[in-house]
Amino acid sequence: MTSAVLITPLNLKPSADKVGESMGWGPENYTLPLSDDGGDTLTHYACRTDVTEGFIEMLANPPEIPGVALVLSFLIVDLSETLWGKEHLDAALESNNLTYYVG
Amino acid sequence: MSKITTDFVGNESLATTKSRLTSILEYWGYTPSLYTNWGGARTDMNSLLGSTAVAIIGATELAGTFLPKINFLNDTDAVIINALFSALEIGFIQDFSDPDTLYTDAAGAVLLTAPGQTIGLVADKSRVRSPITSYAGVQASAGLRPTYGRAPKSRRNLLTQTEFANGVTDAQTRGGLLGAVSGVDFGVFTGTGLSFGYDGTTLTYAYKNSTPVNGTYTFSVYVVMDSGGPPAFGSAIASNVANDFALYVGTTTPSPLTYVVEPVGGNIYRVSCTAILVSPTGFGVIKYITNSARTFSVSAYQNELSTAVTPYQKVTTAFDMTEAGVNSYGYTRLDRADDKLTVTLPSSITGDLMLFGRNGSWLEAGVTLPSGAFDLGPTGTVRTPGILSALGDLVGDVVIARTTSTEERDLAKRYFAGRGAAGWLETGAELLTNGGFADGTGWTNTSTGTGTAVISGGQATLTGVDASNRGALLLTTDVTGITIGQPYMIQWQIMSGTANSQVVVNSGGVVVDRFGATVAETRRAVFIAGATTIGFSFNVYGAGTVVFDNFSIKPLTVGA
Repeated sequence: MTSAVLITPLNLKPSADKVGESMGWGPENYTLPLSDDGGDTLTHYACRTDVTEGFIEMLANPPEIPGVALVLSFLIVDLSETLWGKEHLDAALESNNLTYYVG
Repeated sequence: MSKITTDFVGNESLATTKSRLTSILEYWGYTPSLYTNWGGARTDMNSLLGSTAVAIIGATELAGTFLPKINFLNDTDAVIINALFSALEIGFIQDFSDPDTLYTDAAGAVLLTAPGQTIGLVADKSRVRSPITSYAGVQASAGLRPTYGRAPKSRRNLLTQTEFANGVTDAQTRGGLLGAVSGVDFGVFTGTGLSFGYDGTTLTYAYKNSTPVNGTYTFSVYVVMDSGGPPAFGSAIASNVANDFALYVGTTTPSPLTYVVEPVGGNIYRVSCTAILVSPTGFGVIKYITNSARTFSVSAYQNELSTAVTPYQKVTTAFDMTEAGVNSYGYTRLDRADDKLTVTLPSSITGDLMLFGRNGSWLEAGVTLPSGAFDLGPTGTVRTPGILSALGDLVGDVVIARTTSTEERDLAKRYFAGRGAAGWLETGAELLTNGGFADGTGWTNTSTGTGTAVISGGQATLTGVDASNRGALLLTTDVTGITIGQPYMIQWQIMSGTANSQVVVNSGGVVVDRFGATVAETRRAVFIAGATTIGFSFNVYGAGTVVFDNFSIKPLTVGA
């Protein structure tokens, strides 16, 4: 099982959700508001989930979905085989200098 | 059982009795309208009870006869918890131990079939709903779905893929003449494992990695020697020729003379070793080039925090543990990041919320839930931030639009305890001195800019302007004597004020409860201690004044 933290910039959240929906993930997967200035400004959204090898291959060879190239070009993908859930999310945020948005 | 029987005696109105019968029959699969006479209800009850002569309800028997009889034939506890809703109260029961109520899609079309699958819908178990999405916990987005798992009540084996179903790759640290085997009778579940070869020049080993948590561990493996007979351990030196192999326990190989070798049957032996460890990194088997030439196969690794070996538990993934002769119970694991299940409430309700977890159960009494989305997740309608981290894997929950009695709460707990939940979490002794602000002792004013903090009259009054001008107080000396890994609850009162504020707890990690415009209320949050101390502060970072009082920090322990 591979845990994934996927982080998209705020302005690409609608596109990222649409790409996810086009791939059958449902309407809104990026729901965790994040901040790159310590918590006061909303700058990113994240999704923590489990992914398959097929998903990881898809990142390298994305399907022909409108907007997918743009979304992937700015998508932060943090994968872990040892961390899971909130512990993985917290580690991914720290390594990318992000915090929870609590504004 | 006695409570249910009591429900049907005394001066209960006919309408109430009809309602109870309807509710109970709904649970057992019928969708009846209210019965207009006893005969109709009796007919349905008898069809549910089947043709067993002893179970048939006679025309002269009381309605209450149905309950002991169907309990006898079916599941007593299920009737008990369903009776919470005998007056058809608004609310729901989510039972993650019951895979018949769990679906992998949000529409409730595809039943969940295996551990490791994610839950798109959990049906309400308080009654039969139509459509199934009514009062169901739903998650339409795949990335936000919690995962279903199963395990015995007692989870001891800390490892995964304990029988090496994927071959040598299931040993994260490995080397040498290692091979995958299948069809070997290890006296355990699947017969898969690892073979250890020998050529006199190659070191062979297969370890499972471990988290570096100090403790007393017992590590065990099942062994079949290729030449038959038990494995030999004749020297305290692990690499000696008198030993067939050695166990790697934590960070070293303890004396093989301390191993316990237990015959399991035929040529199968279970070898175990107990050791007190500091920061263990791995557990496994090693065959030195100077050990004997005997080759063998191993399987069924078990590593447990105990002073002696216990019955083997097979673990495939992190979500699937089974034990021979012991029931495994279902649960759901929310990632405490963004997983959540949402129930749409048709109207605002006031009542009780009960959460039942593998590590503890929790009651939120007398809560008011607004109309619309009730979220079971890390944020949202569950009123105590962080509580899910203390409960562990969730076995079930109950939301009911009334205040339940202590007896009813304990009946609900009994139902879920029978499915793996632990007892109610209870608060221990107060750890904080002067949380009531009798004076300024123990507090440091850390206000910034034009922000102010004043302790007076048994309260703390903080005034802020913005993030750069905060009213702030810091606990001068951290609370000590904290147990790492234990849940703690911090509670405080807001006496008045509406400015944006936050309470920050630091115990090996930062926990923040940040809240905005609010009313006078008691707030609380739960966190798992990551250090032996707790430090905390609170501040007003918005424009306005907030009056705080009665800070409290108490440990949470599992009670009855």
